[in-house]
Parts: sequence; structure tokens; C-alpha cells
Amino acid sequence: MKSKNYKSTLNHSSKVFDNLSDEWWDENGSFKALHSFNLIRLEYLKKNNLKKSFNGLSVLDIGCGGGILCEPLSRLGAEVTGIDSNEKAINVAKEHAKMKNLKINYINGELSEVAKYNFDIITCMEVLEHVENVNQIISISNDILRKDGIFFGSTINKTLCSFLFAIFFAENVLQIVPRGTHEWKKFLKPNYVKTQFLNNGFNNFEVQGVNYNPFKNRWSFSEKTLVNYMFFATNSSK
Amino acid sequence: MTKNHHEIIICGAGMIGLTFALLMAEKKIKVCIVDKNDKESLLKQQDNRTTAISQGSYRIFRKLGIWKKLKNEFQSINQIFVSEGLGSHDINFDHKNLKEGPLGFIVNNKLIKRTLLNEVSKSKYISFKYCTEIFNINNEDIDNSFIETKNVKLYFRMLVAADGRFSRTRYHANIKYYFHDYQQTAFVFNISHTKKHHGVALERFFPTGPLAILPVKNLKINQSSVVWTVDSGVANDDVFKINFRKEFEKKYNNFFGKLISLSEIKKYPLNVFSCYDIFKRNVVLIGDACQAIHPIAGQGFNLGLRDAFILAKTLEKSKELGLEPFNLSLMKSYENMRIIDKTLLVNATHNLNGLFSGSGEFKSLLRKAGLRIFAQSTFLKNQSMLFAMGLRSLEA
Repeated sequence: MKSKNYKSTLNHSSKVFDNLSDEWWDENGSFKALHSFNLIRLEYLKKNNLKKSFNGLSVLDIGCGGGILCEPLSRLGAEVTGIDSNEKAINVAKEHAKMKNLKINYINGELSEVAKYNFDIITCMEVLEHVENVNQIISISNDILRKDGIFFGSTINKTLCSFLFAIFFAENVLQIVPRGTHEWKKFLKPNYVKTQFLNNGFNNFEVQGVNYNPFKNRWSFSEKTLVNYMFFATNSSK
Repeated sequence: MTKNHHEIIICGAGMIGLTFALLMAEKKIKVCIVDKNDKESLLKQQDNRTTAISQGSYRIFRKLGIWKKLKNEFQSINQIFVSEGLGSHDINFDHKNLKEGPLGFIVNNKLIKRTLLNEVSKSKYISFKYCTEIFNINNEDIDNSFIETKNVKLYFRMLVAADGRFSRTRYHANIKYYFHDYQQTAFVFNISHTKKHHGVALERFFPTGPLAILPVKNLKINQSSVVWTVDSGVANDDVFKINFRKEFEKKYNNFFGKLISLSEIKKYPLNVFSCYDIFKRNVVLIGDACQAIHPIAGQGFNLGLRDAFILAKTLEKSKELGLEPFNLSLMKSYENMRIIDKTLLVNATHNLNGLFSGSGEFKSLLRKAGLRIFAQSTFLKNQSMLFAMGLRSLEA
């Protein structure tokens, strides 16, 4: 096995999220679009969970933020671990889970912290477009996923459309995403992501486009992957 | 969880609240019903009215196993005759044109309530708090919302108000509504007549208000149920009161043969109201608590049942996705799904009443032209039948 540099895998625009830590669970606040996105990503997870039920599965959520995805997965019976490099977000997540009587293992730190564990499912939503080294996250994920594990991700395509909608409109005009959240040069083309997964031991990769209607604050599945898209990769050949 | 914490509380054990509870139980979701009455008086409630159950509502009841418990105690509506005044029936809505079954069914409220209460008491997913009056609702904080009652605080994640037109929940949750008094009075009573009704319903529009005669199931006598709307000015007139039967006979005009007898007459003032918001934080209004419409087309109950049906689906989805009962995004989509149906019916019944009441020449012309166009267009008739049968909003 090649040696891995576990450092700085999750060091993304942490400062932006520092200032917003109070708002993680406010469905009308800065993370409004994320809360409505939660519905469609949960639907996507449910639809493509080859293991049918989440009950009893161990799930790792990379870049869990305030725990918006961890909590529903925990309610569905999964043993959830959430990891995030932003300390304030993790504290919010811990407090919130406690209030809701949910047992979720939250870790503040780098992906290396969980390298000794194994998981059935890894989720990594709206994270890859923030990190310096995408390849590294995928490679570590393959190590810690059990055989027949599933990696679920979502990110933003690198297109003219995504510049216009995900950055210009979303951050400046509509202000539904906190300003400074995204950098266009870090956005990822689906084919690039697919190659990274196949090069790192995954043998199946599927993409699903999603559309956002900012006026209704509603997401829907779409044939096109011009801006946001979700994907899953499996490693059945492990 | 301790006894006084509930995920979902339903206020009101009326037909809509009870059906909603059964819909949730069918999805294996626990609910608690709160009502100010005790069990005995709920079972004994005197309600001589009948309800027009649309095809859509019938399908919901059938799925819940309620329908077979009604044991044929219902009358199907096979045809509806609509006319202006005593004119020979200008439009004839016939169920044979649609192949969706009868246009609707007429069932006694008492029977529906008793059947629903029996089913509810058998379900392990439904708990009941009788004799519990709501003093206040505190839902400033969604994570710490509760109902104040005389003795205990009942905590909830989601509160479903199904406590009817005079909803106390709506009042305590401070949800604003639009209100319009029609200055009309509805007289509700049963009649017996010499000829068989053959499942025919009659709607006659008079300048003083519409008259609806609905077929009732009765093996011994030929019986129909009447909802007669009269301008309050006329209704409160002493001469009218004394000559009530005579006045009614003029409008009835021996449609089902000679009038034999009239039952006790109940009077209801007519008004419409509709809430500006159908939910406020984690309190959601369904049925008459959310909107009460003019009975002109017999749609109020069916509209309310669609609220219950679609809300139950929404809450099922939130459970399937591991979300809490109250999820803002899901409730927004519930609102989106309901708003057209609600607005359409509130306004349609309002305008229909406006169009058919009053005696201006222009209105009269408009009515006659409208009825003529309708009578000749199978498409319009079929579409409006589908709409009135409540099949449109359930397709989604």
C-alpha cells in the first residue's frame, strides 16, 4: 500500500463556516438551501442504498458540518460518525444531537482520525469542491470502506453555468449561499471525479444531476449535471 | 419518552381528525388525539346532517377499511340535475359518462363518526386524551413546543389542528384568516316524498339562494336530505318562518312526487373563511380549521379529507427520510401541493354562490348562457365532474 499523507485533507474554507456556526440548524438562515438540499440527498441515498436499509450500518459523514445529514441517518438506525475540520461546527453538531437524544460519534479533525475504523457507507456531501486534495480523500475512503461499501458524494460541476449560478447568483444576487463559500477553480467535472474513483480501487461510478429552484427553494433530480450533481461509487471488487 | 411527550398531536376528534389519525396509523406512525369531550359524548353526539362523500374521499375510506364498516348504509349519487329556478333541469351530470363509479355518496354524519371512533379505539398507534381543553399553545421554540391544559403540559413535535370551523388551536396559535359572512342561512332537514329518488341529486339556483336535495338511503320510506340556503333577510322574516313548509314546497315543486313530511329543521349561518397560512411553525391546520367554504357544492368535507390525506403522506415521507415530523422544506412542499386546491374551491364556491344568488339581469343572462354552454359540452361536464369528485388533487 502506498504511503499516505493524511494532513490537510479537510482544511477547506473553514473561516466562512466559523462565522456561521450559530446558523447550522436554522432552516430559514444562511443554510436554507442546504436544508432543502438535505431532502433530495436523503432521497438519493435511500434510492441507491444497495443494502436497502440503513439500520445497523456504520456510516461515516466526511465534512459533516452541524450534523444536518448525520441526524436523519442516525434516526434511520445507522451508527453514524461525523467528521469535520471545523471545531465550531462539530460543537454545534454535538450539542444538537444531545438535545435530540441521538447517539452520534462526532470527531473534530482530519480524516486520519478515523483511519483505524471501517465503514459500510461513506457520505461526502458538498465537500470535494472545498478540499485541496480530492484524490487523497478518495484513496483513504477506499481503505476504510468495507467490501461492497458505497461512497455517496455531491459536488458542483466546473462549467460556465456553475460559475453563473453557484457563485454569482447564489452568493451575490440571491444570497442563498454564504459569500465566499465556493471557488470556481475548485469545482469538479463529473468525468474527472469518476476517473479519480476508478483509479483508487472503486469499480462502479454513477452520476445524477440535480436542479435547484431558488424561488421555491426546492431541489429536483435532473438529467443534466450543469451545476450540482450527486454520485455514488462502489468497491465490490475489493 | 415520558407520557406527556408526543411526536404528533391531533386536536379534535371530528371526522377529519379521526380519519387523519387512521391514515397515520396505517403508516405505523403514532399519534395522540386530544379532544375536550369525553368518550361517551363523542359517541352520542347528535348530528343529523349528512355528508357528501366524493369518489376521492370514498377511495381513501375504502383503503382504510372504513367503507366496508358502513355496511351499505350509504346512498350513491348517480345523477345530478342542475337548473336555474324551476326551469327544467338545464344540466344533467351523469356518472355513466365517466366510468369512475358514482359521482359521490351520501352518508349520515353520525354513522361516519361512530365508525371512525370504533376504528380509532382499536388501533395501537393511536392514543386518546379525552376531556382535555386547550388553554394555550406555546410553539415559539420548535424544539420545546407544548399545549397547556388544565392539569398537564402536552409536548409535541407537530400539532395538527383538526378542531373545525371554530378551532381553538388556530386561535391559540394566532393564525390569521380571511372571513366573509354571506348573510345567508342554511336550513338543513330531511323530507320524505311519494316517488323514489333513484340516486338523483338536485341543485336548484334561486335568487334567494340555492336549494340542494340529496338522496338518502332508507329502505322503508323515500327520503332525501335538504340543504336550503336563503338570504338571512328573508330567513328571519316572520311571515317566511310561519309559511316555511309552503315556501319550501314552491321551490321543491314535487320533484320526487308529493311532499309527505319534514323532519326537525336545523339552522346554520353561512360564512366562508380561509387562513392566510396553512401552517405556522410546527402547527398545521387541516379541514374546516383551515378553511370553511360555502356548502353550495358539498365540497367542504372532501377538501378537508384531501388535507388529511396529503399531510399524512408528507409526514410519512419525513419519517422515511429520518427527518423529524416537522420539517420546513417538506411542509413548504405540502403547502404548495394544497394551495391550488384550497384557493380554487374557496373561490369557486364563493363565486358560484355570488353568481347564482341575486337577481340582476346581467347575472341572470350570464347564468343562462353559462348553463347552456355547460349543458352542451361533454368535456366541460366531465372535467367538472372529475373536479367535484375530488379525483384531480389526489392524482399526484
